[in-house]
Amino acid sequence: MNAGVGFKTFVCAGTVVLVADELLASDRCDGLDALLYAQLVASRKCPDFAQVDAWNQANRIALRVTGAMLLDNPQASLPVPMPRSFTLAELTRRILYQWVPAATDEVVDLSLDSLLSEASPTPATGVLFENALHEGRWVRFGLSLLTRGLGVSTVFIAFEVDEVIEGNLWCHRFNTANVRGNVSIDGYSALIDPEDYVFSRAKVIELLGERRQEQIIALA
Amino acid sequence: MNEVIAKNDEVVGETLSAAQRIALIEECNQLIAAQPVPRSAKLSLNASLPIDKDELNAAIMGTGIAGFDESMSRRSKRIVKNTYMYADLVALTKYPSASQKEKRYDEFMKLMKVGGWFAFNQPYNRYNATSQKLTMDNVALNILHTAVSSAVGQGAAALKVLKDVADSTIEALKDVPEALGLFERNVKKAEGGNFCMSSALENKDGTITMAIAAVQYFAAAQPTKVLFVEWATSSVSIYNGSATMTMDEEDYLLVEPLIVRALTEQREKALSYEFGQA
Repeated sequence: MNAGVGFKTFVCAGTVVLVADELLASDRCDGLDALLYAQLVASRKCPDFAQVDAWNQANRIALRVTGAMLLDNPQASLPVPMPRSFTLAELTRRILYQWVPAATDEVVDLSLDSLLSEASPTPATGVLFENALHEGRWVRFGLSLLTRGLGVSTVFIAFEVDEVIEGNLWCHRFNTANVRGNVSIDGYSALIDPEDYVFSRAKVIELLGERRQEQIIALA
Repeated sequence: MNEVIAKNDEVVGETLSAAQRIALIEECNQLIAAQPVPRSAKLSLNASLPIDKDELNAAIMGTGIAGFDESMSRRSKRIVKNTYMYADLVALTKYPSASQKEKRYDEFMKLMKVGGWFAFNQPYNRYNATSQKLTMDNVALNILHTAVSSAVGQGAAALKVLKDVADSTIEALKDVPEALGLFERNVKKAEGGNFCMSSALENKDGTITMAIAAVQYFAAAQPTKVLFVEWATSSVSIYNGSATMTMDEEDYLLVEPLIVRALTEQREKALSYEFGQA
Protein backbone atom coordinates (compact mmCIF):
# COMPACT_ATOMS: atom_id res chain seq x y z
CA MET A 1 0.00 0.00 0.00
CA ASN A 2 1.44 3.33 -1.03
CA ALA A 3 1.17 6.44 1.06
CA GLY A 4 -1.08 8.89 -0.67
CA VAL A 5 -3.24 6.23 -2.28
CA GLY A 6 -6.91 6.88 -1.61
CA PHE A 7 -9.44 4.30 -0.56
CA LYS A 8 -13.15 3.81 -0.94
CA THR A 9 -15.04 2.13 1.85
CA PHE A 10 -17.56 -0.63 1.26
CA VAL A 11 -19.70 -2.76 3.49
CA CYS A 12 -19.59 -6.39 2.36
CA ALA A 13 -21.90 -8.44 4.62
CA GLY A 14 -20.20 -8.46 8.03
CA THR A 15 -16.99 -6.89 6.74
CA VAL A 16 -15.86 -3.36 6.05
CA VAL A 17 -13.67 -3.35 2.95
CA LEU A 18 -11.25 -0.56 2.14
CA VAL A 19 -10.59 -0.61 -1.61
CA ALA A 20 -7.61 1.24 -3.05
CA ASP A 21 -8.64 3.84 -5.63
CA GLU A 22 -5.97 2.53 -7.98
CA LEU A 23 -7.85 -0.75 -8.49
CA LEU A 24 -9.72 -1.16 -11.74
CA ALA A 25 -13.47 -1.24 -11.30
CA SER A 26 -13.54 -4.83 -12.58
CA ASP A 27 -10.90 -5.90 -10.04
CA ARG A 28 -12.81 -4.13 -7.27
CA CYS A 29 -15.95 -6.07 -8.20
CA ASP A 30 -14.06 -9.36 -8.32
CA GLY A 31 -12.49 -8.75 -4.92
CA LEU A 32 -15.75 -7.76 -3.23
CA ASP A 33 -17.61 -10.66 -4.84
CA ALA A 34 -14.98 -13.15 -3.70
CA LEU A 35 -15.09 -11.80 -0.14
CA LEU A 36 -18.89 -11.98 -0.05
CA TYR A 37 -18.87 -15.50 -1.49
CA ALA A 38 -16.42 -16.67 1.18
CA GLN A 39 -18.49 -15.18 4.01
CA LEU A 40 -21.73 -16.68 2.74
CA VAL A 41 -20.19 -20.13 2.35
CA ALA A 42 -18.69 -19.98 5.85
CA SER A 43 -22.00 -18.86 7.37
CA ARG A 44 -23.86 -21.65 5.60
CA LYS A 45 -21.38 -24.26 6.79
CA CYS A 46 -21.06 -22.86 10.30
CA PRO A 47 -24.34 -21.16 11.23
CA ASP A 48 -23.50 -21.29 14.93
CA PHE A 49 -21.65 -18.09 15.87
CA ALA A 50 -19.91 -20.01 18.66
CA GLN A 51 -17.98 -21.98 16.01
CA VAL A 52 -15.49 -19.19 15.58
CA ASP A 53 -12.48 -21.19 14.42
CA ALA A 54 -14.54 -23.39 12.12
CA TRP A 55 -16.14 -20.32 10.55
CA ASN A 56 -12.76 -18.68 9.97
CA GLN A 57 -11.42 -21.87 8.43
CA ALA A 58 -14.45 -22.27 6.16
CA ASN A 59 -14.11 -18.64 5.12
CA ARG A 60 -10.48 -19.10 4.09
CA ILE A 61 -11.14 -22.35 2.27
CA ALA A 62 -14.06 -20.82 0.37
CA LEU A 63 -11.87 -17.92 -0.68
CA ARG A 64 -9.32 -20.41 -1.93
CA VAL A 65 -11.97 -22.24 -3.93
CA THR A 66 -12.51 -19.00 -5.85
CA GLY A 67 -8.88 -19.37 -6.91
CA ALA A 68 -7.26 -17.01 -4.41
CA MET A 69 -3.83 -17.87 -3.07
CA LEU A 70 -3.57 -17.61 0.68
CA LEU A 71 -0.21 -16.06 1.42
CA ASP A 72 -0.04 -15.63 5.13
CA ASN A 73 -1.84 -16.22 8.38
CA PRO A 74 -0.17 -13.73 10.69
CA GLN A 75 -0.33 -14.04 14.41
CA ALA A 76 -1.70 -11.12 16.35
CA SER A 77 -1.04 -10.49 19.97
CA LEU A 78 -3.51 -8.36 21.77
CA PRO A 79 -2.22 -6.04 24.42
CA VAL A 80 -1.92 -7.95 27.65
CA PRO A 81 -3.79 -7.24 29.77
CA MET A 82 -6.64 -6.11 27.58
CA PRO A 83 -7.78 -2.57 28.17
CA ARG A 84 -10.73 -2.28 30.54
CA SER A 85 -12.90 -1.24 27.64
CA PHE A 86 -12.61 -1.05 23.87
CA THR A 87 -14.50 -0.23 20.71
CA LEU A 88 -14.30 -2.27 17.51
CA ALA A 89 -12.75 0.77 15.87
CA GLU A 90 -9.92 0.92 18.43
CA LEU A 91 -9.28 -2.81 18.29
CA THR A 92 -9.29 -2.94 14.51
CA ARG A 93 -6.88 -0.03 14.24
CA ARG A 94 -4.48 -1.65 16.68
CA ILE A 95 -4.51 -4.97 14.83
CA LEU A 96 -4.20 -3.39 11.40
CA TYR A 97 -1.14 -1.43 12.44
CA GLN A 98 0.47 -4.66 13.61
CA TRP A 99 -0.41 -6.74 10.56
CA VAL A 100 -0.27 -4.25 7.76
CA PRO A 101 2.52 -1.78 8.63
CA ALA A 102 1.91 0.14 5.41
CA ALA A 103 -1.63 0.90 6.57
CA THR A 104 -0.78 4.39 7.71
CA ASP A 105 -2.69 6.19 10.41
CA GLU A 106 -3.97 8.59 7.82
CA VAL A 107 -5.32 5.89 5.49
CA VAL A 108 -6.99 3.85 8.20
CA ASP A 109 -8.38 6.85 10.04
CA LEU A 110 -9.80 8.52 6.97
CA SER A 111 -11.39 5.32 5.75
CA LEU A 112 -12.78 4.14 9.05
CA ASP A 113 -14.04 7.59 9.95
CA SER A 114 -16.52 7.29 7.13
CA LEU A 115 -18.05 4.43 9.08
CA LEU A 116 -18.00 6.34 12.33
CA SER A 117 -19.74 9.25 10.68
CA GLU A 118 -22.74 7.06 9.88
CA ALA A 119 -24.54 8.29 12.97
CA SER A 120 -28.00 7.35 11.86
CA PRO A 121 -28.84 3.90 10.50
CA THR A 122 -28.31 3.48 6.76
CA PRO A 123 -28.73 0.46 4.48
CA ALA A 124 -24.96 -0.07 4.70
CA THR A 125 -24.76 -0.03 8.50
CA GLY A 126 -27.92 -2.14 8.56
CA VAL A 127 -26.26 -4.84 6.46
CA LEU A 128 -23.08 -4.66 8.51
CA PHE A 129 -24.74 -4.99 11.89
CA GLU A 130 -27.17 -7.64 10.70
CA ASN A 131 -24.21 -9.80 9.74
CA ALA A 132 -21.78 -8.76 12.48
CA LEU A 133 -24.08 -8.99 15.50
CA HIS A 134 -26.01 -12.15 16.33
CA GLU A 135 -28.67 -12.47 19.02
CA GLY A 136 -27.38 -9.26 20.55
CA ARG A 137 -24.42 -11.01 22.14
CA TRP A 138 -22.18 -12.51 19.44
CA VAL A 139 -19.94 -10.15 17.53
CA ARG A 140 -18.07 -11.20 14.38
CA PHE A 141 -16.68 -8.22 12.57
CA GLY A 142 -14.24 -8.18 9.67
CA LEU A 143 -12.11 -5.55 8.02
CA SER A 144 -10.39 -6.10 4.69
CA LEU A 145 -7.97 -4.06 2.63
CA LEU A 146 -8.06 -4.60 -1.12
CA THR A 147 -4.91 -3.26 -2.71
CA ARG A 148 -3.10 -3.19 -6.04
CA GLY A 149 -2.86 -6.54 -7.79
CA LEU A 150 -5.91 -7.68 -5.81
CA GLY A 151 -3.96 -8.31 -2.64
CA VAL A 152 -6.28 -8.84 0.32
CA SER A 153 -5.51 -8.39 4.00
CA THR A 154 -8.37 -9.37 6.29
CA VAL A 155 -8.89 -9.30 10.03
CA PHE A 156 -11.84 -10.93 11.79
CA ILE A 157 -12.65 -10.13 15.41
CA ALA A 158 -15.16 -12.38 17.16
CA PHE A 159 -16.33 -12.63 20.74
CA GLU A 160 -19.37 -13.15 22.93
CA VAL A 161 -20.38 -10.35 25.23
CA ASP A 162 -22.90 -10.11 28.02
CA GLU A 163 -24.08 -6.53 27.73
CA VAL A 164 -26.71 -4.59 25.84
CA ILE A 165 -25.42 -3.18 22.55
CA GLU A 166 -27.25 -0.11 21.39
CA GLY A 167 -26.64 2.29 18.54
CA ASN A 168 -23.66 2.06 16.24
CA LEU A 169 -21.87 -1.26 16.84
CA TRP A 170 -18.68 0.25 15.48
CA CYS A 171 -18.69 2.97 18.19
CA HIS A 172 -20.08 0.89 21.04
CA ARG A 173 -17.67 0.74 23.96
CA PHE A 174 -17.41 -2.82 25.27
CA ASN A 175 -16.53 -3.50 28.86
CA THR A 176 -13.82 -6.18 28.79
CA ALA A 177 -15.20 -7.68 31.98
CA ASN A 178 -18.40 -8.50 30.08
CA VAL A 179 -16.62 -10.43 27.34
CA ARG A 180 -17.27 -14.15 27.81
CA GLY A 181 -14.23 -16.23 26.94
CA ASN A 182 -11.55 -14.91 24.63
CA VAL A 183 -11.62 -12.31 21.92
CA SER A 184 -10.78 -14.25 18.74
CA ILE A 185 -8.52 -12.46 16.30
CA ASP A 186 -8.00 -14.15 12.96
CA GLY A 187 -6.69 -12.93 9.66
CA TYR A 188 -5.02 -13.74 6.42
CA SER A 189 -3.29 -12.21 3.47
CA ALA A 190 -4.32 -13.47 0.07
CA LEU A 191 -3.92 -12.78 -3.59
CA ILE A 192 -6.87 -12.96 -5.95
CA ASP A 193 -5.11 -13.48 -9.27
CA PRO A 194 -7.38 -11.88 -11.89
CA GLU A 195 -6.18 -14.40 -14.49
CA ASP A 196 -7.18 -17.27 -12.26
CA TYR A 197 -10.41 -15.61 -11.18
CA VAL A 198 -11.52 -15.87 -14.81
CA PHE A 199 -12.51 -19.45 -14.00
CA SER A 200 -14.73 -18.30 -11.14
CA ARG A 201 -16.25 -14.94 -12.09
CA ALA A 202 -19.43 -15.98 -13.88
CA LYS A 203 -20.38 -18.68 -11.38
CA VAL A 204 -19.70 -16.50 -8.34
CA ILE A 205 -21.90 -13.77 -9.80
CA GLU A 206 -24.62 -16.32 -10.54
CA LEU A 207 -24.49 -17.84 -7.06
CA LEU A 208 -24.50 -14.50 -5.28
CA GLY A 209 -27.41 -13.22 -7.36
CA GLU A 210 -29.18 -10.25 -5.78
CA ARG A 211 -27.04 -10.54 -2.68
CA ARG A 212 -24.35 -8.61 -4.57
CA GLN A 213 -26.58 -5.57 -4.59
CA GLU A 214 -28.07 -6.17 -1.15
CA GLN A 215 -24.89 -6.89 0.81
CA ILE A 216 -22.16 -4.95 -0.99
CA ILE A 217 -22.79 -1.27 -0.43
CA ALA A 218 -20.46 1.68 -0.91
CA LEU A 219 -20.22 4.15 1.95
CA ALA A 220 -20.47 7.78 0.99
CA MET B 1 -14.81 -43.98 -20.92
CA ASN B 2 -13.25 -47.11 -22.42
CA GLU B 3 -13.74 -45.77 -25.91
CA VAL B 4 -11.90 -42.59 -25.04
CA ILE B 5 -9.03 -44.49 -23.47
CA ALA B 6 -8.74 -46.83 -26.44
CA LYS B 7 -8.63 -43.93 -28.85
CA ASN B 8 -5.97 -42.20 -26.77
CA ASP B 9 -3.81 -45.29 -26.75
CA GLU B 10 -3.85 -45.38 -30.52
CA VAL B 11 -2.27 -41.97 -30.82
CA VAL B 12 0.64 -42.50 -28.44
CA GLY B 13 3.86 -41.46 -30.08
CA GLU B 14 2.14 -39.93 -33.09
CA THR B 15 2.21 -36.30 -34.05
CA LEU B 16 -1.36 -35.15 -33.81
CA SER B 17 -3.04 -32.86 -36.24
CA ALA B 18 -4.88 -29.81 -34.95
CA ALA B 19 -8.22 -31.52 -35.55
CA GLN B 20 -7.10 -34.62 -33.65
CA ARG B 21 -5.92 -32.52 -30.71
CA ILE B 22 -9.22 -30.70 -30.53
CA ALA B 23 -11.24 -33.90 -30.86
CA LEU B 24 -9.23 -35.58 -28.14
CA ILE B 25 -9.65 -32.68 -25.72
CA GLU B 26 -13.36 -32.47 -26.43
CA GLU B 27 -13.73 -36.14 -25.58
CA CYS B 28 -11.73 -35.68 -22.40
CA ASN B 29 -13.87 -32.70 -21.48
CA GLN B 30 -17.00 -34.81 -21.80
CA LEU B 31 -15.44 -37.34 -19.49
CA ILE B 32 -14.57 -34.67 -16.90
CA ALA B 33 -18.00 -33.09 -17.18
CA ALA B 34 -19.62 -36.41 -16.36
CA GLN B 35 -17.86 -36.53 -12.96
CA PRO B 36 -20.24 -35.47 -10.18
CA VAL B 37 -18.10 -33.49 -7.75
CA PRO B 38 -14.57 -32.19 -8.30
CA ARG B 39 -11.99 -33.85 -6.18
CA SER B 40 -10.68 -30.42 -5.16
CA ALA B 41 -14.02 -29.63 -3.56
CA LYS B 42 -14.11 -32.95 -1.72
CA LEU B 43 -10.59 -32.45 -0.47
CA SER B 44 -11.33 -28.96 0.75
CA LEU B 45 -13.81 -30.33 3.26
CA ASN B 46 -11.04 -32.01 5.18
CA ALA B 47 -8.24 -29.62 4.42
CA SER B 48 -6.65 -27.63 7.13
CA LEU B 49 -5.33 -24.19 6.31
CA PRO B 50 -4.22 -24.26 2.69
CA ILE B 51 -1.47 -21.81 1.95
CA ASP B 52 0.49 -20.99 -1.16
CA LYS B 53 3.51 -18.79 -0.82
CA ASP B 54 3.86 -16.25 -3.54
CA GLU B 55 7.44 -15.48 -2.63
CA LEU B 56 8.40 -19.03 -3.58
CA ASN B 57 7.80 -17.95 -7.17
CA ALA B 58 6.25 -21.37 -7.38
CA ALA B 59 2.85 -22.92 -7.44
CA ILE B 60 1.65 -25.94 -5.53
CA MET B 61 -0.88 -27.74 -7.66
CA GLY B 62 -2.17 -30.85 -5.93
CA THR B 63 0.79 -33.22 -5.81
CA GLY B 64 2.94 -31.00 -8.01
CA ILE B 65 5.22 -28.13 -7.23
CA ALA B 66 6.15 -25.91 -10.14
CA GLY B 67 9.16 -23.63 -9.91
CA PHE B 68 9.40 -20.63 -12.21
CA ASP B 69 12.47 -18.72 -13.30
CA GLU B 70 12.32 -14.94 -13.06
CA SER B 71 12.24 -14.84 -16.87
CA MET B 72 8.71 -16.24 -16.86
CA SER B 73 5.95 -13.80 -17.76
CA ARG B 74 2.61 -13.97 -16.00
CA ARG B 75 1.11 -15.31 -19.21
CA SER B 76 3.69 -18.06 -19.49
CA LYS B 77 3.15 -19.10 -15.89
CA ARG B 78 -0.56 -19.25 -16.65
CA ILE B 79 0.11 -21.52 -19.64
CA VAL B 80 2.21 -23.85 -17.48
CA LYS B 81 -0.44 -23.92 -14.77
CA ASN B 82 -3.37 -24.44 -17.13
CA THR B 83 -1.78 -27.24 -19.12
CA TYR B 84 -0.46 -28.92 -15.97
CA MET B 85 -3.80 -28.68 -14.15
CA TYR B 86 -5.68 -29.93 -17.15
CA ALA B 87 -3.37 -32.88 -17.83
CA ASP B 88 -3.38 -33.82 -14.15
CA LEU B 89 -7.17 -33.59 -13.97
CA VAL B 90 -7.77 -35.78 -16.99
CA ALA B 91 -5.12 -38.33 -16.01
CA LEU B 92 -6.50 -38.67 -12.50
CA THR B 93 -10.06 -38.92 -13.77
CA LYS B 94 -9.17 -41.71 -16.14
CA TYR B 95 -6.79 -43.59 -13.87
CA PRO B 96 -7.73 -42.90 -10.24
CA SER B 97 -6.44 -46.12 -8.71
CA ALA B 98 -3.11 -46.31 -6.89
CA SER B 99 -2.20 -49.30 -9.06
CA GLN B 100 -2.59 -47.20 -12.22
CA LYS B 101 0.21 -44.73 -11.56
CA GLU B 102 2.21 -45.66 -14.66
CA LYS B 103 -0.82 -45.31 -16.92
CA ARG B 104 -1.68 -42.07 -15.19
CA TYR B 105 1.79 -40.71 -15.84
CA ASP B 106 1.60 -41.73 -19.51
CA GLU B 107 -1.81 -40.09 -19.79
CA PHE B 108 -0.51 -36.95 -18.10
CA MET B 109 2.36 -36.71 -20.60
CA LYS B 110 0.01 -37.38 -23.49
CA LEU B 111 -2.29 -34.56 -22.41
CA MET B 112 0.63 -32.19 -21.95
CA LYS B 113 1.56 -32.87 -25.58
CA VAL B 114 -2.01 -32.37 -26.71
CA GLY B 115 -1.94 -29.11 -24.73
CA GLY B 116 0.86 -27.88 -26.96
CA TRP B 117 4.09 -29.08 -25.33
CA PHE B 118 6.77 -30.66 -27.49
CA ALA B 119 8.17 -33.22 -25.09
CA PHE B 120 11.07 -35.58 -24.79
CA ASN B 121 10.06 -37.95 -22.04
CA GLN B 122 11.93 -40.70 -20.35
CA PRO B 123 10.02 -43.93 -19.75
CA TYR B 124 8.58 -44.74 -16.38
CA ASN B 125 11.27 -46.74 -14.56
CA ARG B 126 12.33 -48.06 -11.21
CA TYR B 127 14.71 -45.67 -9.49
CA ASN B 128 18.01 -47.18 -8.40
CA ALA B 129 19.41 -45.51 -5.32
CA THR B 130 23.17 -45.74 -4.84
CA SER B 131 23.30 -45.25 -1.09
CA GLN B 132 21.64 -46.80 1.95
CA LYS B 133 19.84 -43.59 2.87
CA LEU B 134 17.99 -41.16 0.67
CA THR B 135 15.74 -38.14 0.87
CA MET B 136 12.81 -37.71 -1.50
CA ASP B 137 13.74 -34.12 -2.29
CA ASN B 138 17.18 -35.25 -3.45
CA VAL B 139 15.64 -38.09 -5.45
CA ALA B 140 13.35 -35.64 -7.27
CA LEU B 141 16.20 -33.22 -7.90
CA ASN B 142 18.46 -36.00 -9.19
CA ILE B 143 15.76 -37.17 -11.59
CA LEU B 144 15.08 -33.64 -12.77
CA HIS B 145 18.80 -32.84 -13.16
CA THR B 146 19.28 -36.02 -15.19
CA ALA B 147 16.36 -35.13 -17.44
CA VAL B 148 17.72 -31.64 -17.93
CA SER B 149 21.21 -32.93 -18.72
CA SER B 150 19.84 -35.16 -21.46
CA ALA B 151 17.77 -32.38 -23.02
CA VAL B 152 18.62 -31.53 -26.59
CA GLY B 153 18.32 -28.22 -28.36
CA GLN B 154 18.96 -26.12 -25.24
CA GLY B 155 22.02 -24.07 -24.44
CA ALA B 156 24.11 -24.82 -21.38
CA ALA B 157 23.00 -21.59 -19.73
CA ALA B 158 19.32 -22.49 -20.04
CA LEU B 159 19.93 -25.97 -18.67
CA LYS B 160 21.74 -24.52 -15.69
CA VAL B 161 18.83 -22.16 -15.05
CA LEU B 162 16.38 -25.08 -15.03
CA LYS B 163 18.51 -26.92 -12.48
CA ASP B 164 18.99 -23.82 -10.37
CA VAL B 165 15.27 -23.05 -10.33
CA ALA B 166 14.52 -26.58 -9.18
CA ASP B 167 17.17 -26.36 -6.45
CA SER B 168 16.01 -22.99 -5.21
CA THR B 169 12.33 -24.01 -5.24
CA ILE B 170 13.05 -27.02 -3.05
CA GLU B 171 15.30 -24.93 -0.81
CA ALA B 172 12.62 -22.24 -0.45
CA LEU B 173 10.01 -24.85 0.38
CA LYS B 174 12.03 -25.73 3.48
CA ASP B 175 11.42 -22.27 4.87
CA VAL B 176 7.68 -22.25 4.26
CA PRO B 177 6.16 -24.84 6.59
CA GLU B 178 2.57 -24.06 5.60
CA ALA B 179 3.27 -24.64 1.91
CA LEU B 180 5.34 -27.72 2.69
CA GLY B 181 2.54 -29.08 4.88
CA LEU B 182 -0.04 -28.54 2.15
CA PHE B 183 2.18 -30.27 -0.39
CA GLU B 184 2.87 -33.27 1.85
CA ARG B 185 -0.78 -33.73 2.74
CA ASN B 186 -1.54 -33.98 -0.96
CA VAL B 187 1.33 -36.36 -1.61
CA LYS B 188 0.99 -38.97 1.14
CA LYS B 189 -1.20 -41.99 0.68
CA ALA B 190 -1.69 -45.11 2.79
CA GLU B 191 1.27 -47.13 1.53
CA GLY B 192 3.35 -44.60 -0.30
CA GLY B 193 2.72 -41.53 -2.34
CA ASN B 194 3.53 -39.67 -5.49
CA PHE B 195 4.58 -36.18 -6.39
CA CYS B 196 5.85 -34.18 -9.27
CA MET B 197 8.20 -31.25 -9.50
CA SER B 198 8.89 -29.01 -12.41
CA SER B 199 11.15 -26.16 -13.33
CA ALA B 200 10.43 -23.70 -16.12
CA LEU B 201 12.01 -20.75 -17.90
CA GLU B 202 11.13 -18.51 -20.82
CA ASN B 203 13.63 -17.42 -23.45
CA LYS B 204 13.73 -14.08 -25.24
CA ASP B 205 11.46 -15.17 -28.09
CA GLY B 206 8.81 -16.35 -25.64
CA THR B 207 9.43 -20.09 -25.89
CA ILE B 208 8.84 -21.84 -22.57
CA THR B 209 11.09 -24.70 -21.53
CA MET B 210 10.12 -26.98 -18.68
CA ALA B 211 11.61 -30.03 -17.01
CA ILE B 212 9.40 -32.39 -15.01
CA ALA B 213 10.25 -35.18 -12.60
CA ALA B 214 7.51 -37.51 -11.39
CA VAL B 215 8.21 -39.67 -8.35
CA GLN B 216 6.12 -42.53 -7.03
CA TYR B 217 7.13 -44.46 -3.94
CA PHE B 218 5.80 -47.47 -2.07
CA ALA B 219 6.59 -48.12 1.58
CA ALA B 220 4.83 -50.28 4.15
CA ALA B 221 5.91 -47.88 6.89
CA GLN B 222 6.86 -44.30 6.18
CA PRO B 223 8.13 -41.32 8.13
CA THR B 224 5.71 -38.61 9.18
CA LYS B 225 7.12 -36.31 6.54
CA VAL B 226 7.99 -36.97 2.90
CA LEU B 227 10.60 -34.36 2.03
CA PHE B 228 13.74 -33.38 3.91
CA VAL B 229 13.83 -36.57 6.01
CA GLU B 230 16.00 -39.63 5.52
CA TRP B 231 14.50 -42.85 4.26
CA ALA B 232 16.18 -46.26 4.43
CA THR B 233 16.66 -47.23 0.79
CA SER B 234 15.79 -50.84 1.59
CA SER B 235 12.37 -49.89 2.95
CA VAL B 236 11.06 -48.02 -0.05
CA SER B 237 10.50 -48.78 -3.74
CA ILE B 238 10.71 -45.76 -6.00
CA TYR B 239 9.57 -45.35 -9.58
CA ASN B 240 10.11 -42.30 -11.67
CA GLY B 241 9.39 -40.64 -14.96
CA SER B 242 10.84 -37.45 -16.33
CA ALA B 243 10.61 -35.17 -19.31
CA THR B 244 11.88 -31.96 -20.80
CA MET B 245 9.52 -30.01 -22.98
CA THR B 246 9.15 -26.78 -24.88
CA MET B 247 6.12 -24.74 -25.83
CA ASP B 248 5.43 -21.95 -28.28
CA GLU B 249 2.34 -20.04 -27.27
CA GLU B 250 0.85 -20.56 -30.74
CA ASP B 251 0.65 -24.28 -30.07
CA TYR B 252 -1.34 -23.61 -26.92
CA LEU B 253 -3.69 -21.03 -28.44
CA LEU B 254 -5.37 -23.69 -30.57
CA VAL B 255 -6.61 -25.63 -27.55
CA GLU B 256 -6.71 -22.87 -24.94
CA PRO B 257 -10.47 -22.24 -25.18
CA LEU B 258 -11.21 -25.91 -24.61
CA ILE B 259 -8.80 -26.22 -21.71
CA VAL B 260 -10.04 -23.02 -20.09
CA ARG B 261 -13.64 -24.19 -20.52
CA ALA B 262 -12.89 -27.51 -18.81
CA LEU B 263 -11.04 -25.84 -15.95
CA THR B 264 -13.83 -23.28 -15.61
CA GLU B 265 -16.49 -25.98 -15.43
CA GLN B 266 -14.43 -27.79 -12.85
CA ARG B 267 -14.06 -24.60 -10.80
CA GLU B 268 -17.77 -23.87 -11.14
CA LYS B 269 -18.64 -27.29 -9.78
CA ALA B 270 -16.40 -26.65 -6.78
CA LEU B 271 -17.90 -23.20 -6.19
CA SER B 272 -21.45 -24.60 -6.34
CA TYR B 273 -20.51 -27.46 -4.07
CA GLU B 274 -19.07 -25.10 -1.47
CA PHE B 275 -22.11 -22.88 -1.79
CA GLY B 276 -24.41 -25.82 -1.14
CA GLN B 277 -25.94 -25.83 -4.58
CA ALA B 278 -24.44 -28.94 -6.11
